[in-house]
Amino acid sequence: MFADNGKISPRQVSCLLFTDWVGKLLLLLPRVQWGLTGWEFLAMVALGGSWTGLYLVLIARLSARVRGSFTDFLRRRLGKYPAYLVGCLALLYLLLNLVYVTRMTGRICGLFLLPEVPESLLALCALAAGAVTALGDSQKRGRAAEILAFPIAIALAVMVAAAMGSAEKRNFLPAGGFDGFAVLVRSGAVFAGFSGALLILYETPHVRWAGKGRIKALEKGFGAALAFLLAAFLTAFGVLGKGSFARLPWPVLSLMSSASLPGGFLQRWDAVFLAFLLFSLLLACGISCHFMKRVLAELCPKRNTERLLFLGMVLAAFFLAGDLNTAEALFFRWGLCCLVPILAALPVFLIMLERIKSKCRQEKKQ
Amino acid sequence: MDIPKAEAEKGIRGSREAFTEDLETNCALITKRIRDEHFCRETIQAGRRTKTDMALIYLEDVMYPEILEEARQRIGALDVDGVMDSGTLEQLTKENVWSPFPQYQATERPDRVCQALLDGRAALLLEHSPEALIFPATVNSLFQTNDDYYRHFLVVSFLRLIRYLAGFLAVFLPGIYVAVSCFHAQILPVNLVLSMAEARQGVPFPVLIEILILEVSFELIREAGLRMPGAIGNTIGIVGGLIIGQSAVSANLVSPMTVVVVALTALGSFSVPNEEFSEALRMVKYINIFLGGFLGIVGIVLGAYLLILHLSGLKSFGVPYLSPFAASDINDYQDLKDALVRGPLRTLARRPFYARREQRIRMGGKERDHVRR
Repeated sequence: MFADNGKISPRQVSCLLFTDWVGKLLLLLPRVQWGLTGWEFLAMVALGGSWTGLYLVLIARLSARVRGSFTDFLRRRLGKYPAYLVGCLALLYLLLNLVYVTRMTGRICGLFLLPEVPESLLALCALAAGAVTALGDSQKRGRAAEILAFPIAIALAVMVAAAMGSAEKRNFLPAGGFDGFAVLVRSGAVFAGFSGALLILYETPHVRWAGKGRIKALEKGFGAALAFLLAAFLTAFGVLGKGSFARLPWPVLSLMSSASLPGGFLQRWDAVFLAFLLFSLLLACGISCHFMKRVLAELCPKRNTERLLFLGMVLAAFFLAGDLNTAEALFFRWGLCCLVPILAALPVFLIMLERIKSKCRQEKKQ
Repeated sequence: MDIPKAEAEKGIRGSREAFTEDLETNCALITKRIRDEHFCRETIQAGRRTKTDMALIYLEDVMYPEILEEARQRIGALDVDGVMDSGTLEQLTKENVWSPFPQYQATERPDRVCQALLDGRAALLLEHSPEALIFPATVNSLFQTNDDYYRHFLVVSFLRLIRYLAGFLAVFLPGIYVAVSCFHAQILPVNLVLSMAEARQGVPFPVLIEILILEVSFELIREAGLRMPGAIGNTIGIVGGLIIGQSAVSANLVSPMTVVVVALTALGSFSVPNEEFSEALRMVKYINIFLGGFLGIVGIVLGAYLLILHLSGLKSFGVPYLSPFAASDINDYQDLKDALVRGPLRTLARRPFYARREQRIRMGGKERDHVRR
């Protein structure tokens, strides 16, 4: 029927990407600035964003070639065992990502909203919400993202606009030199942060693509997320100054505290903005859980085994990670530095393989 | 047979007529309004023993055939000894039986059914039941009243916003109040916090218990008022609302602020035009009260997230329950003109996306030319 085909629209893909990225990366990227000054950090985000933009074109092109599931596609191109290996690596990345985001949600809620509730309980709530999100079909998540994307965007825009008034001109003045090489190297971390885009390939058969909709959908979600990230970081930089910006673990949350709206009705608007950010984080947990279930379903066709594996893996990873610091170290060391480069190279390799094969075919014909 | 006046769905403008308990009269109330050759009526019997007559009515050229087919299948699959009311039929043919949210739109007004038929929906009328079941139903349709189309669009848009706000208050206000009072009092201005604290002085219960006491009392008053005959029902409302409320505050059982919150929540739930939808929202409210009481704002966000997720997964005959807020691109975002706010009638040239594609245009002029091009 018109809407009941089990597939999501390109617009919903954009919304999923936007909601997944915006909350997570607003908190994650300042953690990987590693001593860069404010302008260098912004340049790092912009440059890493550019890499991602180009990479998404590649992903969109590859997704056009995927018929059936992505694992089947890999099996045809690379063989059975490499396809399984890629699936396992993707699962591992998703697991690290999920544990990190849930732990981070727990820490933030504990620090800024509920100091009296244990962080682990809050993180467990986020994990439960993520697991519930993974239940049901793709359309459900697509629609939820479509509904949530707009209020999240509005809340963040209001937060940035409200905080902009507190920005100081002198904070924007360049101080010291500009280390272009460091920016270039570290932009890889931003690219790795956006690397979830690769997993869209697993979702491809469940999207109602139309014509050039692939590139447009991916770029729309990415463009909106990047614009919000840059605006929020630029404002945070202007308000907090380069010293505080580099020292604070989550400068955007401090930016929220400095944002106040005229009228004086609420004393702490940051709680409201944080509530909207939480929607984004919960959906990010849900999207990770969903992709885990999708990959597991492709790797083990038995439904009960897939469910048990999913539950077992998520719970084991969550409790083994212990706290945010361990989860963060694991995610940065293994997720961003090891798994992402391998997974990110895969589409490039696949496209090159396709080209070589088609050239060989042409030569044979000739 | 006398045609009764609409009691449950009162309107300021438009027809006052309501359905009766006679199927033929009800069908006549529709056919006197729609005199189109494409108007179809299928008579079906349900119930092995009761053999209750029902009529499935629709406009053949406007209605999506897949929706009709699914309705026929669901009714055909009924294997029950009796169907006493449209409510029974609704329960038995509902897609998601666990969801408290209505997947049909029940109405007692013939003009509402006619408007729905023109939109590309269908309706089920049952013998001995004074209500029609319109399908597919969406959250948007459940927030609308029929006189939304009889009055100026700016007034209607304002009223719709008020209704959506009412829906929000009905679900979240007590939960937010509990969350803010228990965990986040620092969000509020100092003067408000002080006056809240002053009002709570002497109340022996925590806010969560206090609001639960009042909410449950309100449910009791409501239920008692419904079951009593007319005049006594009104008296119960006065006794419950005024005397018990006033006494509870004087006895320091609840604070005046809690009474205000519960009263606002009740007004919110009464402002939602569809009774079944309002009842579902009232149930969700209790989950939010507990979440707010245990996890503060985080609990409220969790509750809201799960509610959105649940509604996103609901479908009424294949139509997304949250359309046109979700999946609005199916009809080029045209359905958003008649959603949270309503555009001028002249701009509502297209039928909603669940109408047949070749019959999407309901008004001539520029829009039809544009679509043809």
